[in-house]
Amino acid sequence: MRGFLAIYRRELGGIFMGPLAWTLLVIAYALQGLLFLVYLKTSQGDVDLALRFAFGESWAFWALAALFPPLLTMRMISEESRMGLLEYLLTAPVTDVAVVLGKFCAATTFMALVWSAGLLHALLVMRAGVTPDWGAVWGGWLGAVLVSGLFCATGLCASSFTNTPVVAAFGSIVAHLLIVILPLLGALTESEWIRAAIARVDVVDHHKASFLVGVVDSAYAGFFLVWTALFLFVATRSLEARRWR
Amino acid sequence: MALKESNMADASMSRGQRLLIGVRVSLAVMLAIAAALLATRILESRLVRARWDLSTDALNTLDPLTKNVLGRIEEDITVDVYFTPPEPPFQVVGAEAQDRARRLLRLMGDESGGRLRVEFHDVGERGKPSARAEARRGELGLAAIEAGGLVVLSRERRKEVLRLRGGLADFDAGNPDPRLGPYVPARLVAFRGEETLATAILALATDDTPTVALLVGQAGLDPRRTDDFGAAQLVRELEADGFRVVSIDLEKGQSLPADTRIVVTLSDAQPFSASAAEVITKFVDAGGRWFVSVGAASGAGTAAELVRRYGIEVVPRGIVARPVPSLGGGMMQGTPACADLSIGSDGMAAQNPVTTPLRTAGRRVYVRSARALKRGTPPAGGAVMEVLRSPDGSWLDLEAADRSHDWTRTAGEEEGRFVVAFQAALPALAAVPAERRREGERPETRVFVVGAPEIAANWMVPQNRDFLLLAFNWLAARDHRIALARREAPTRRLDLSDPEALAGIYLLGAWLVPLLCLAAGLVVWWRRRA
Repeated sequence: MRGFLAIYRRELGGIFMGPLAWTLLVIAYALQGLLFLVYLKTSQGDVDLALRFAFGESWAFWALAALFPPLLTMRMISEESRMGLLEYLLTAPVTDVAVVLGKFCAATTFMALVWSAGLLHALLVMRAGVTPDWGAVWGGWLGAVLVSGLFCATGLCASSFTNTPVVAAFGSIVAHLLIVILPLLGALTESEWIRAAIARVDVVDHHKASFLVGVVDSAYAGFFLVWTALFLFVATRSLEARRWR
Repeated sequence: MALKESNMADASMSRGQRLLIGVRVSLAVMLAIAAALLATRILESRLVRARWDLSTDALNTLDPLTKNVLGRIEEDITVDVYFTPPEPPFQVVGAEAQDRARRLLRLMGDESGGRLRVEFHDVGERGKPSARAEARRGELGLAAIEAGGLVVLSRERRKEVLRLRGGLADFDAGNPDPRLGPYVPARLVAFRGEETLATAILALATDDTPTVALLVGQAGLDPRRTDDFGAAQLVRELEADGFRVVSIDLEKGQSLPADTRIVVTLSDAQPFSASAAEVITKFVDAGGRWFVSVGAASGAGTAAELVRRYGIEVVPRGIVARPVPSLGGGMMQGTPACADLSIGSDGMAAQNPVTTPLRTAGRRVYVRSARALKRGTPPAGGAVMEVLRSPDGSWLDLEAADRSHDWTRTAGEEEGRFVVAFQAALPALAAVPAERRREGERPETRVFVVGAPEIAANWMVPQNRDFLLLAFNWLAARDHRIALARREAPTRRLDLSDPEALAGIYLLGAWLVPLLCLAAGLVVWWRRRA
């Protein structure tokens, strides 16, 4: 646990010490702020609908969710490996699991901060005199964090496979885009079993059908946690395999 | 040489080790994927599943009655959702209703444990509908999808069609035209999705298949004919609603099946023979059910004459007519269109099992060339209830000597609002045969009479489908209606005309916070540089 906390603090500090995090935050907050106004106008002032757009009903949400985690995680293992820093880390008295979990939690914390723009917008709407459905707002935020957690895990997994951060980022962005457009591909097929299989791993649908409407369902939360754990497990195995290379 | 051999052995061992590690890692990954799939499957099972509805209005929680209905589904029910863009001025409220219907269907699908299979069809907002959507539409026999769309629940051949507007939700158009007064946006009056869907599911899940005997032989509507004046469409709709329909010609000596629940006479043009009339009367007296659309025939042995026995009389002369709007904006007479009646909620009886759902949904019933009906004297203990009444300004247009009509109100022609459909319920006049006796049901004779001969003709069924099915379900005593407490979610709307409200969000949300982040980033950069 101590090892995990040390890694987590080190990674979180690393994120905020670099220019990338602040650049991403400025882009995310500005974009989400402007788009929230657009959502309000298109929904004729329906604040719950506008907040649902902010937390997952819009393309902008999925674009940010797919692009940001790879940019955060691409360096986490591959860059350290390339620069020879990983050897120091692997010989330190921390387990591989603690290393991967620490890095993952740091990236996910940053993404939770990115999505807090939606919470801020809900507060601003309340200040303007309309109380939003806070249950749905917190549900949407939690779902957004879980989606980001899954994407951070895949990003970390990609980063553990290669020594080149750009390759890791590119690989995970492609994977994320595939995950996001998977339901659209499913709609094109006539095959029942392919559609059923896609429905089982449909990340977009799992977010929209529960968290986004203010429902915390153990099956849907479990879906994100299980797949996140799988990618983290693969990343840990991959890190472990580096010891033998 | 010895050194070289030793190095080769090391390299070989290293390759072997790598291969072993590779195999172990691959196996572990595959096992992990299988474990993940298994874990998600287990998490979906009802035993370990828990859900918390955080929403303020608890809109994501089903009524216990709905849960009970979903728990009673034994065979899979397919739900095909065809949502299309709602027509003006209902675009926004229609989309809101569609969104709530989607959420509700998802919720019901989850609650049913897979028994309710929901499929959302892509009907193409601008382009063509998907091939699958079209194929399913063909299988379900849907002629067209109205603006806003519909939801079709089906089990084997049975289906329930629920329209978005009037079925799942009620809208108010407001006032979109500023010339007619202050602008009032369209609004969602009520979302009845849960109640409507639960009722439809219960209807499909119930294995009650009443037999309907359609009597032919009086030159009425022919159930085999698919042209405008046949009754094939009615047969299809009844079968889709879970009835078994058989055609019986009593004049040819055919007898009613023992399990007949309802006999139907559609627009009889010739009287029944004495023996056929006796069969019908005996059947109805013994707790049978009878649907009659009065035909042109009059006199002894006709359906019009036989229904007198149950307290319903058909006015012997005249067709109910009314003035129709002219192109100039006024009302006109003298055209056959005067015989076409469009009956809205003001012409439908209140608190009636047949008309209440139609009134709630704002639907209309269309009848042509209807004969007026009068309340007669029902047998002791019987009740005759009005169902449909013609609109204001109607008159009874009398035939000339050559049986033609002038469709103009002339002196001597009665004016008023005439009843064009009655229903009668009375205690069985004769002993009910054992095969027709139903547990928990009082032996009761039910008769439903519509004065319009073409009410069930193919060309009218698409417009009057709901009315006809409600009438047949009342006759069969199939009441699946479920009443759930209304739960309305207030739309939390920000007044966009208030510039201050938006300015605050704009300045703080889109500018101030991003600028603060930028400033923080610059400070970090400056300190690191220093």
